[in-house]
Amino acid sequence: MMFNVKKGKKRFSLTVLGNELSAWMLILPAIFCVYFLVVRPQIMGFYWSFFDMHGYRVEEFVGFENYRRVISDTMFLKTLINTCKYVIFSLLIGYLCPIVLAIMLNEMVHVRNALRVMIYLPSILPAVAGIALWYMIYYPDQSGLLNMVLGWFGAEPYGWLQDSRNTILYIVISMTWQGAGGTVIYYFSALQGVNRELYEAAMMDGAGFFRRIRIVTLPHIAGISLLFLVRQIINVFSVMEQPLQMTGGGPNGASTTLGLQVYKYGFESIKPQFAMALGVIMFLILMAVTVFYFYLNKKIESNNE
Amino acid sequence: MADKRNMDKGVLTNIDMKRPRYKALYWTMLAILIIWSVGICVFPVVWVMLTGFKTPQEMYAIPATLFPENFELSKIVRVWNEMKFYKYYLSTFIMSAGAVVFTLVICGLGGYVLSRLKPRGSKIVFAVFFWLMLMPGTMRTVPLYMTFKDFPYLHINMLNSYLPIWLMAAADIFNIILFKNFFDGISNQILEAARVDGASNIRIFFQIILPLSLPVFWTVAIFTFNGNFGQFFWPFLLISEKEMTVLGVQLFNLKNSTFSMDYQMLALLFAMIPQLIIFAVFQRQIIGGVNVGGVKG
Repeated sequence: MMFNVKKGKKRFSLTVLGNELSAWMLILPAIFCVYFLVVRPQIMGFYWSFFDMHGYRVEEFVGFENYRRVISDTMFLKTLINTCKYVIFSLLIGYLCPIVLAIMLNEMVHVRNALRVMIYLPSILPAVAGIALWYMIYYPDQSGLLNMVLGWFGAEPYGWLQDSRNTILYIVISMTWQGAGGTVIYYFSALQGVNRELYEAAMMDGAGFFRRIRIVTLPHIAGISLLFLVRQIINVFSVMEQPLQMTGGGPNGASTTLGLQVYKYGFESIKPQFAMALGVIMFLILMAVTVFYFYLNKKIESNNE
Repeated sequence: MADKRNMDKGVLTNIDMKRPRYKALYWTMLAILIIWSVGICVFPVVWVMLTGFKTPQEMYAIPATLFPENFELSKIVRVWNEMKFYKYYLSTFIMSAGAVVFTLVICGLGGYVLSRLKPRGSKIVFAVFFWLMLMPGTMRTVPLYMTFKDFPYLHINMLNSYLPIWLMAAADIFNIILFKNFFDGISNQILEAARVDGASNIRIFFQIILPLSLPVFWTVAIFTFNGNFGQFFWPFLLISEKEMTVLGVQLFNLKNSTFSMDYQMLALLFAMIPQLIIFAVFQRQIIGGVNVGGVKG
């Protein structure tokens, strides 16, 4: 037989060599793209963050100077706090909401598919359309949806996104609106995988609805809900498009995030060295979150065994 | 209805449903879900649609009305022509379709090599890919821009073309791994038979793997198309040529334009319609695709 399919050592022959070469040729485009668009930018972003730059031209090594400049920027602390606010608000508003919706959806006998499609609807819209939609919902005069409703109650139009105390909250609400639907579908398919016998066993023990959810359902989705927790923290921490499109970071920097600041350094004030230094700082924070995830995930997995 | 509940995976059972307490709970949950899905998920979209048909005077009428006085369907045509939306549709379509082609061919072949051919050393490639996928890319934005401005070694300027978007789609490691996982499930016997017949690797991919894996190809195609159709950031950064402006960027530009709000809302509708049609047609693949993608913790 020319092709030895048994596991173990492949016979070394010209045919095998040719075959391996042709295999590498097929994956080469993928490796090319990943190298130049993921690996190299990652490494260079780190490396160049220690260099002074003129426009986009790399000049001389300056050590930690870029980092010092970024951190001592008067806006840095405020931006960092803002970004954390985004994360905290989005966890408070948006984290439990898909889980609760999925659990309720899972109980439904009536019109379940119609509900599922409607809940998923915001998530299929392009992100930029969702952002523009909420920009109009929050529109500061009477043509905005919320001010129209306020008008019905005789209230004056309110500035929504212009109110610097709550801008972040309103942006987070719009993000939750668009993101929750997709997450519900994931939780829903996880809930469909719960073994019914577990519920029946719990019922025999006299467990009511909420107790059954606590002792059967929640442990079953612990893994995926931890994954979504971390994904949400990571995604929201690097948020950039929403403030960029809805408020431009304003009013007066009230909704600026670290991600938006990277954009501003990189493409508005053309200080790419600062953008990369700030990017590295964000990277380190997010890596810490990721490592923490793997630590917790291991714990959950060993608990389930 | 009783039979239906038995097939279900819900927590409540038939026995529960005989008790008034649980009956009330069930109907409360149904009511909450209906209010949420209709009032919160669907209503804003409908509102934009309705408001787009209002005249600017109607928009500021006191008290405000929900429905426009008259539905003038010709307004859609007028807005479409005045805003030149056909142009943006065309360029967005070219950008997204290219991204789909690049993803299916390059990621598909990548997944095929990692799953079935497994040349010496490919395990390392897989491990590296997997770790890269988990890595936050916050410092990549600027170097990526510089890469497209002056591609290393080749020194090609890719600004004002869709090539960067297409290459980025091809560099989506998640899709490579998705393909690999799907191809892992294909029986070895068929592939061996083809090999004994002397079929080349690439022929096996197109003649055997591809027809057997249509669900995953569809899923990736739909998600890639959808994802790119609404792209904003990279086209915004890379493409300044007016003729090549895509929908997402145009929607952003409209905010600072002289078009009145009702025009802007109809424009927003135009940006949503393709996605809504795709969802209506491919609903099964999209919701099923969530399972293909399978988030494993």
